Amino acid sequence: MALVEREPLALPAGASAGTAIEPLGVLARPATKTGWRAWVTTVDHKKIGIMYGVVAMFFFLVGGLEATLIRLQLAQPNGSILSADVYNQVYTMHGVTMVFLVIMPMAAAFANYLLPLQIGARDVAFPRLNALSFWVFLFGGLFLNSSWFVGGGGPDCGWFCYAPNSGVTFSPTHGVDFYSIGLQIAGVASLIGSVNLIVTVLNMRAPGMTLFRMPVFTWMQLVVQMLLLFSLPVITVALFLLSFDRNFGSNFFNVAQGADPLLWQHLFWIFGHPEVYILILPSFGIVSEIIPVMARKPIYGYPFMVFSGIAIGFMGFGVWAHHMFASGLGPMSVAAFSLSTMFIAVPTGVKILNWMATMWGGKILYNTPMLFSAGLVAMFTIGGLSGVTHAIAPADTQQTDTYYIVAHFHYVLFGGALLGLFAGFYFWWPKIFGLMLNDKLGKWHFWVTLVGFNLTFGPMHILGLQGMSRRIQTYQSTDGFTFWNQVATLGVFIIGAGLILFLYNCVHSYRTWKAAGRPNPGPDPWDARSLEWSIPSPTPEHNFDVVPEIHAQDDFWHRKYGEDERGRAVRIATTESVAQKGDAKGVHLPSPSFYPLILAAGLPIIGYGVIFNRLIAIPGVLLFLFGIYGWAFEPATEPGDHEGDHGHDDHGDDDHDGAALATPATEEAPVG
Amino acid sequence: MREKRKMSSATRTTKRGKRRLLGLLALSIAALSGCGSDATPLTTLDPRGDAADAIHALVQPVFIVAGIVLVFVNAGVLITALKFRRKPGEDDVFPEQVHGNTKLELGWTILPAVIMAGIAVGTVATLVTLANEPEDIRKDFEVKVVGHQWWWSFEYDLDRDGTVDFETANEMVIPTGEAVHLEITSRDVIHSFWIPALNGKKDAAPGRQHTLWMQADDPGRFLGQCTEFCGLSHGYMRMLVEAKAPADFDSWVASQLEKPAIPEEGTAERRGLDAFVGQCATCHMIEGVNSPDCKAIETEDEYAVEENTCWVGASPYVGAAQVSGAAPNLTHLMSRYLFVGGLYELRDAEGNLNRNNLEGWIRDPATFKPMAPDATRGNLYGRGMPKLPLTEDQIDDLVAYLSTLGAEPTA
Repeated sequence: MALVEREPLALPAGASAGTAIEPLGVLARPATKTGWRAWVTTVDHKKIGIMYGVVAMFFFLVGGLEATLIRLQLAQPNGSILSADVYNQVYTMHGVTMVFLVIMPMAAAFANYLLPLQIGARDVAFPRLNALSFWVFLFGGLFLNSSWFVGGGGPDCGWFCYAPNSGVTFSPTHGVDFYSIGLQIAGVASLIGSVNLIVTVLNMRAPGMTLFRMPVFTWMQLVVQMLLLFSLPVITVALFLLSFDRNFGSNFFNVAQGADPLLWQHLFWIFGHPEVYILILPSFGIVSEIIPVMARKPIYGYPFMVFSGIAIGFMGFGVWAHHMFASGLGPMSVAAFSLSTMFIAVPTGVKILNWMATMWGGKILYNTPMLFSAGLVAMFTIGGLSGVTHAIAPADTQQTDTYYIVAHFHYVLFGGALLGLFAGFYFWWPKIFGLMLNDKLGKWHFWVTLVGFNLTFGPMHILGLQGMSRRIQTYQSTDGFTFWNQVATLGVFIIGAGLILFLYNCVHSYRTWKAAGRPNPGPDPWDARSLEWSIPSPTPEHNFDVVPEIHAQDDFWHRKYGEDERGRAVRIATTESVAQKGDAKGVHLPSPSFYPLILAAGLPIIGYGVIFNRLIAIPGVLLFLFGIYGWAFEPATEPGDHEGDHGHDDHGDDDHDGAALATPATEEAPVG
Repeated sequence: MREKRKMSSATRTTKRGKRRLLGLLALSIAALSGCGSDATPLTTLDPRGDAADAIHALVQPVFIVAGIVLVFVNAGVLITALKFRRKPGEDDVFPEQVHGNTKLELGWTILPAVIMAGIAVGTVATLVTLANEPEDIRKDFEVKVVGHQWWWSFEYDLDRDGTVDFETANEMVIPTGEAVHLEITSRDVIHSFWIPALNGKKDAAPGRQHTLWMQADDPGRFLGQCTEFCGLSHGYMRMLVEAKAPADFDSWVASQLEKPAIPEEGTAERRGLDAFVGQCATCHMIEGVNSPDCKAIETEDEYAVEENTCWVGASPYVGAAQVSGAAPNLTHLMSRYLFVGGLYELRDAEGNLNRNNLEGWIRDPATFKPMAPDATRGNLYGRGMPKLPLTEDQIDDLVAYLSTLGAEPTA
């Protein structure tokens, strides 16, 4: 807590922080607003959100390349494109990358960008922590992938990395060390982010934005952050134990010393199953925003949508052992987890039916975001239903660790999470970048992806029931797996074509937009419902000119529309008349800072030190300590930096003490 | 007893026929993939024993219900897509602003819960069936199944007195009709024992004993695959269960208890035995050559008449201390169908020994199956079969000797 910069909570607009204290920080507080410096020092939740998205998209290409290699290897029996050793590394890194470096950060991108906007806040509760969270994630991801080059290969133990196969004896390269330490670093990022977003949602809502007026996306993200907060410490413990076993000779998973190898499995899945909901709930939130907008109807059964999300969050912690039905638990625990798993299907089913009811009777505009959303409803249902068949524990002993499971979770994570995230890209692109993505190309992207996706993962149901095991480097020509594997390999190239269409769309739309004289899509191109559409596109740096007062769920919609006697919406005001102009002057915003980047940069160096030589860790530790010191004593604002549009100030920053956090949100938010 | 077995087997077959008629979805999947169990030897859709039958009967109705829900939801999406599409000229048309209907939503919360409760009842019932061993389980023997990187050993304990009477590798033989008790464990990492036609899988975890029972209706060979990722050669870790009619099983057991003969001096086979003792005996075991705790003797007469004796000549390889057990027991190698972790056929279609494969495997194992035999960080011995310094003559001799071990299986 930096006492130096403690200041009144709510400053009047444009007022000087009025401090005459010389900066104690070593590095002057940066003030640049353009160029790369503005990005690396930013604490703006919108810039951080965009960076999360860009980095996740980069890792998506990496993970997609790994997927393509896997499919090429499996395109024929006795395939020889990848050796068994390399195959094991590639499939491990495909899973780790897609889970930890693609879907989680993509969801974090939307959470960072949208949560403050949807609750009517100027930023997140702790902007510098927000930046720290991003940089730690980035360095963790790069560290993990650096094992390809300096670790003697990637980790070769699967994303689940079961003990004792993860021990030095059975996995002698440094790959697993990079896995355990890399995921600890990435976990720190998610943990910081979750605390930050929970505090933001609980404390920084605009006046009148009660919890049950929050958009469903905000709700789902709140549940996700809670899941992260409680599940990440468990995997962190497991990874610590693994690191100690591998790097310091401890015996937590050494069976010869009396360890039970099931300890790792329990720890991993107590994290791992909530993780599944961490991956899917953000997309549930996204389509819950898009479907009402495109159908011109409010979300059907808002309380059911919210409570089913909360129920999934709670029940998600009580089903982990369904990953372990064949691992030798007693019949009593198997029965208990089998039943709990079946009943988690109920709140999920409620969501699907409520989306359908939202569409029913609407006037649905089938543009790209809506197509992706409808695609999620249809495809996730397939994944949900195959999930029910796994819940039947005896049946699961036939299905588990076969391609039937691979099919199942790709229908959940691709057909659910990724389709939802792409829907989100098309939907919020104009809000984020001030230009629309081309709808025609977007529709091509959708249909090509849908066909490729089903060709790739649909046949895996059949392969799994035919007995094809997961994680096998190859199969025999006598197994009867060849045909459907070839279909799946064909499918992955179609998915790849879809992805190229998306990337091309990003470039093409930008060029067309530039050539057309950069037309602004306006604040509300979709005639939408939530607060982010009541401010200009792209979002001004200060978000809201005036923090809105909220009177209803979908407040912005109700400012535009009333209802006639038959309950149909009737326009009562133009968007222009109710939207904010984005021209407020002198709004106090948190100042940029170098320290999140510096602090985060210390972590991978410490990681290399633990793996290779403790001496390497010394500069990492020094950098880390310097980051903490500089952070703590960083002045609120550089003297003389109060001119211009936006005075920079640490208002709303991570320096409030507990009492400040307890301050009601209504006092916190209005700054304009 | 025989009669009863036949009858129950017959009723089982008809029951299975009915279930198959019911299982429209599974059938259509099977039809799509053009499979019988011959085309797809690992299929889960063609159960051949009581445990697999019970699982199949439980999951088939669920596949059907799931199929119905699937059609319902996807048809729903399609119908709304077409029916409530915003048509040209409807840009200013707004639908009724329905916020929800609590009764309806409670309905579709409770309905799936009721369906799930129904499935739950069947699930728990089947779990109990599978957890309790059938009454007619064979009480006179059990099999200890041990996973190794990357092969399986099957230790037969006749009389269930805790001592292993004989051991096979990668192929387990069971009698038809009655269930067999398995004790499953691992020597190194976690593996998973899975014979899809006979039962679901069960992990083999070091330091833990997991039990499973297995029963086959009719004689046959049922392929399996290790299904828990166990390192480098996981994909190449296969196993086979052969069900034999009880009488055939009994004679198989008798033959497995026989000690192999010591070849005549001066023959290729004898030189092969010397090569075995010199190069292979640290990891592999042949009963009567380097079996654990055996009494070392030097005359062949004693070997033939006394139990638990090892004829070793002047070899230092005597007793358990030298046998790591890190590799398959070769005592009755020729009585098996497959080798290299259940991956390669030991004989060709005409029933002749696949000499080239066997020689090639001994010459350079890593070309047949990925292996990591080199000592590495934390492991002084490596994993898998190393490339041994054998001359071509020694390889010929070894194959000559190995082909004397055990009698060819009678199908």
